[in-house]
Amino acid sequence: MPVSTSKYRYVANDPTKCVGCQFCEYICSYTKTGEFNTYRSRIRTVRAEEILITSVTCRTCEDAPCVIACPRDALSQDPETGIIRVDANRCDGCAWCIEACDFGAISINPETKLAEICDQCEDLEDGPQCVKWCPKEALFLTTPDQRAQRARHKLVKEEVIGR
Amino acid sequence: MPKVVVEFYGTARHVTGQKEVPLELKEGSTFRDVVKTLAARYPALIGDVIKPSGDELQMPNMFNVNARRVVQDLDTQPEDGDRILLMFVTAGG
Amino acid sequence: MYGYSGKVLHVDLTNRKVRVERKPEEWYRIYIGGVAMATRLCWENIEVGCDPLSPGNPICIANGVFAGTPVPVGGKYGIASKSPLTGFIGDSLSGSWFTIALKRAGWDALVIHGASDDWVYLFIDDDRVEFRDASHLVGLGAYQTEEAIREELNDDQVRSAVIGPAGEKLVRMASVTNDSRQAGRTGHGAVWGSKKLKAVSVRGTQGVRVADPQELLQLCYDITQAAQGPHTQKYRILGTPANVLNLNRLGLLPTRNYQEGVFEKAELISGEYLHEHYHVKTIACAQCPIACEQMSRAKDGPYAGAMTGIDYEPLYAVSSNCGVGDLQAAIKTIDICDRGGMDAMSTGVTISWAMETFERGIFTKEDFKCSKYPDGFEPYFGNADAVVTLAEMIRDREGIGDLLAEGVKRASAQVDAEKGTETWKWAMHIKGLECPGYDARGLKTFALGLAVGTRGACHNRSAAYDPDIKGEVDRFSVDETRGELAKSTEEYAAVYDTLPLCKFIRRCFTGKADRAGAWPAIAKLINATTGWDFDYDAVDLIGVRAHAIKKAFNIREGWTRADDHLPWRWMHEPMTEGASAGHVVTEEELEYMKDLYYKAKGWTKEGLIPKEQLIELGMEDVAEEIGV
Repeated sequence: MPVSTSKYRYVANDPTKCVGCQFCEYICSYTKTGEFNTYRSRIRTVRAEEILITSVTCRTCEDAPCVIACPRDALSQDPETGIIRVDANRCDGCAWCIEACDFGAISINPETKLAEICDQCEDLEDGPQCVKWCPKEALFLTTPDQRAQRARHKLVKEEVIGR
Repeated sequence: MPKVVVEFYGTARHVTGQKEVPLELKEGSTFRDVVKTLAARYPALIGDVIKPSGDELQMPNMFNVNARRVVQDLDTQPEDGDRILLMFVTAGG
Repeated sequence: MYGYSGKVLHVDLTNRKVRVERKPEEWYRIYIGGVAMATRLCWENIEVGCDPLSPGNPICIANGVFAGTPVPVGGKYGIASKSPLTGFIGDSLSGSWFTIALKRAGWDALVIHGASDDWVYLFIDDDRVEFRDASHLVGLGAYQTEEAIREELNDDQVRSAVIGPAGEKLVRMASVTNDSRQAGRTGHGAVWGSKKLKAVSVRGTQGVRVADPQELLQLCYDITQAAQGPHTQKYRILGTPANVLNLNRLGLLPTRNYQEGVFEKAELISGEYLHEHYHVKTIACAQCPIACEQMSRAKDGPYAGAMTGIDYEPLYAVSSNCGVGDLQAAIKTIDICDRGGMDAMSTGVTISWAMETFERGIFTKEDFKCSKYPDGFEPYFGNADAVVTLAEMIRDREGIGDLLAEGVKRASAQVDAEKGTETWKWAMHIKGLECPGYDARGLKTFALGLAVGTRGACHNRSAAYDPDIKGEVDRFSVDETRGELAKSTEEYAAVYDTLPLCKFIRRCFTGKADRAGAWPAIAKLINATTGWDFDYDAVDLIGVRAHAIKKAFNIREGWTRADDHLPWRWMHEPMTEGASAGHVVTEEELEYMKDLYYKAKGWTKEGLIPKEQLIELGMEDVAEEIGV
């Protein structure tokens, strides 16, 4: 699996907690479109085999490949947060950004024909709605650094005190 | 001094690791006293099995006496030799 | 209308034609969705008196009012046809994505008529319907079929309801599978097989709109949070297999074809043991914040690698009920049933009948010849390999599996006709549907609930074990309250089955699962979704109406009072061990309770529905046909 080397925060999923309920997709699509439609969610659950379940959204890569790939300079990255923004006047729905994204985190809105990417609900006070709603607390905002710290802690606990 | 045995099923057994626990009760003890004793001895029961107040069972857990009748009022008394099953209402699946 | 599209899709497999029916809002207010709407569509579209496996028996699928919204556990559909096991209404439920896709494709319900000459599957791509060749899918297991179709259509959002090999071979206990969940009971898979329909696949890309999304979201958020607390602990932590030890202690765990209610190896098949040794992951249906399915894998021995979700009912049926104290064998047997597309409950109870018939010397080793054992095998109780092998033989209709695939009612009748025996006395079924995992000799209110159940012996339609197990009544005796209790519990369950909502959420609204605790909260969910003005009484009426249409369907198909029976064993043979030993439900007790129940329902002594009652429920046309 490709990894992000970003310093930016993104919404991550702990697959040991995720049960595949898709509430993240419901709440995302509603927040962004006013309708419940998992087809329009910017975070997508993935079930591979019967017991491998997680969800994936924008990883806010540094020097994001989608931004580089866009032939019309419609995509830009916020230098502070790493969030990818789409300029509706420039985007023509060519989908090169989708091809460039290793995470499958971008989609084209079938009606507007514009690229859509997770913006971590940056305009909302209580942050990403999927994180707020996740009933199993499987979703969390994190950076690769923080994830590494968590992994080290978990490992040490398991190795030393047997969980 | 009435002696009873509390048998743990489901979550109660899962969180305590115990199948059953013998209790010696003071004369006049009620089922509520049994709940209090269990709460003190097994704090892990508080939450999913016993209410945070420590003197009431959390729904849907219940006491079944000798697999014959269900305790409807915690302020009644167990009898010497009772086997008290701590279980929850079964349904579904 | 919010929450509904107002459209029912009719597909005719014989002529490969499609038609759209528009239903008025009033119809939706009466039939809501799920099993009530599916049954009503079956009432409207069936050729009365037809053979369940003939083209005149329609497949009716109805979404729920909450499918495709964030209402917790609202992602379920109802499916109804005339049951090949009972000859009466076969109504089942299944959860997860399929129904959500159908809703988003713009359909409230789907009715499939006729029969195809060649194997076919339907692809409903929003408002377009394609009849696609399914010959290359024939023989594939249920999960494989779902995956093959997703690959063929090249979209991982395509959701399918399918049948496995058992349905293709018209095994009467075959199920319909979607998203690894089953509409398990009453033999829908055989109805699909009789139409040469392998699958219905759906891509739905449209959004679902509700009347008051802000209000709905707030309600849903609170319920979702409550669903993580003690109200659902038993489902989340051990899942329903936690029932094994409870029921065993109460003397109610069906053992060796219901000969006893305690199993000496109960610990070895318990939810606790499963959790410790074989549990790999807990998963949820789509739209469910509880997550109860305990995915479990056999890790060593002859069944290593078998993996499926383990629930109590399939578990007891293939383990204690067959005398088998081996969870790995149980996982394997249920895995065969799930992938083969058949109901593990009916399969287990039919196998246990065959085992007892063998132990009594009526079947012999030679009767069990098959490709795996050319000289036959000896299916004594406790023979785990025999259970696994018989499940495969039923799925494939191989050898004696061909007889057992008819279900325990027909199989016993056939044997008795040929040999002059009385194997029907240990054929554990009601109306042809095999019994569930609670021995009714020690649960007398439940015995009544099962006997009068419209789809036969079903623990999901009658919740009458509740007052028995909670100790609200004496579970070993009979009194004048039982008719009202059986009525009240079955109508309570019918509300959930019609919306539908999974019953596991019932304590999460207010902490109390009774009507007073749940109905006002459910009314709010309905109103925020549809913009209607439902109140407590209106919610209560959902269950009354659902049950009325199911009963009416049965009456029109020839039901009489004698059909509300119990298995002979429960009425004549007391158990000898455990906390429920020494009890039976006598003929007098049963007939007395039936009288009480019919009276509580406001029916005649013969169990027929007065015209005025049906008219009051808004079912004038039903009153006209079967009211008295």
